[in-house]
Amino acid sequence: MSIALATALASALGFYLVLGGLYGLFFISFGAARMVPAARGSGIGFRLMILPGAVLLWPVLLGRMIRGYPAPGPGRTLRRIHVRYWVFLVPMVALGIMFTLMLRPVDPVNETLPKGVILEESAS
Amino acid sequence: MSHTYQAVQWNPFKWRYDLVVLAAIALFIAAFVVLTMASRPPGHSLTLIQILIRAFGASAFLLLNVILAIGPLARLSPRFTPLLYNRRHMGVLCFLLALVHGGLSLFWYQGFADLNPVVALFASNANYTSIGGFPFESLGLLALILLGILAVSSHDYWQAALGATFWKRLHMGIYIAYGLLVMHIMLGIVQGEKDVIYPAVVIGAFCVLAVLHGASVIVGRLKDKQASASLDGWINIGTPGKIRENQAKIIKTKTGDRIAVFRYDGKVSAVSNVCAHQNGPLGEGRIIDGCITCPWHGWQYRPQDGRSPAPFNEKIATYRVQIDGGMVYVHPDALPPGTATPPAIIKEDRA
Repeated sequence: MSIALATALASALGFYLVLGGLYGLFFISFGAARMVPAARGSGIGFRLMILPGAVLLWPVLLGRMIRGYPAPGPGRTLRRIHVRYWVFLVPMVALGIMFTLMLRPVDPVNETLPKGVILEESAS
Repeated sequence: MSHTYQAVQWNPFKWRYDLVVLAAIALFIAAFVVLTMASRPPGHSLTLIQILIRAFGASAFLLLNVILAIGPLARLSPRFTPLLYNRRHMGVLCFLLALVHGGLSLFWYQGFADLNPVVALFASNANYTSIGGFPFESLGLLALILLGILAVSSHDYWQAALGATFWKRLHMGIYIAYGLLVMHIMLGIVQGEKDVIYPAVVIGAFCVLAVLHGASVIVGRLKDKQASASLDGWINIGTPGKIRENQAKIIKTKTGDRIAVFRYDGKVSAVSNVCAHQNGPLGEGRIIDGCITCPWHGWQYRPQDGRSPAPFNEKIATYRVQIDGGMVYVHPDALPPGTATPPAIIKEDRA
């Protein structure tokens, strides 16, 4: 990955978190109790506890706010999806393990020093 | 349950649970550091910070394995059910351990660059086609982000806000995080270390998890009673004696819904098998203090109307039940959540 692309990616990540932080403060102040009425009157400890969730999940919460806080659908067990995850995961991980073991260097070398790749690139 | 939300609903059990987990993690990290230092030849160049990076990474990975093992273990044997009650604290701890691992790695391997360490992390290695030099850090970062999303959305509030089904789907991301972490280790330290302990632990842990989950699925399917509709659409589930006192028999309707049929105090009632909290299997719980108690987190419902006792207001669907000719019949059409329906009286028990 080029430094320009890496910088853009890191900036996008930072931008997402800054927007999330702003929305999160709004959400814990005004939105949390509108979305779940049982949260009305909850203390500052609870609001701070849900702040990181609001920061990371802000697009989902914003979408729900725009749609007027629709009530979530009824819960149901997701056992079948759970099984599908495992049916997919087990062979994929097993193949990955086998593949990486087969291609493992015969005489691996410890990486005990900082890589310094960036230092070389930025110096050139 | 949703009376009032608190930051953390502590109780003595949770305190003990968390203290035991924290003590085990601290012991593991200390043992890892001491054993690694002791097993290295004199003059080795592995620094303490590098050993700590490995110790925190290893503890996070092993804790994730424990977390993923608790579900199938509890399904296979009720003795493990108490471990479910506070599993989310383990998940948050797993994320924090992984965060320390990631933070120390970023500081040690990228912190000396002229660039922003995060930019340096993305740009330092682009060998995505190489096995030996694969930028395994990117897999670890993705897994860390996933674990972070799960940790910050683990409060009960988020389930109520996002809906149980969405929340559950989101939290199935733990399986993706697990796969990413396995590959992070296999493409990382396993490629660069002679020690066989790393691949041996990863493969062993993965095999144990795969067997446990496979066994729990098979046992679950064997336990599932595919209900056959009898006269007038009512489902015959056998005699009341086939249901243990204060426990349930779970039946599966043709539409795939699971119904928990509870026997208690000479009566039989039927409710949805799905807890309103985290979709836990109510039929695997017991009746405690007159209420159906979810085996996962202890949420309670009255068997007659599927409502949580005051001051809580959760509701689950109920089903009509009757006893005819000594056999228990359940109607497969769910009544709206919280609908009161009279329990069937077991006459034989009163005789």
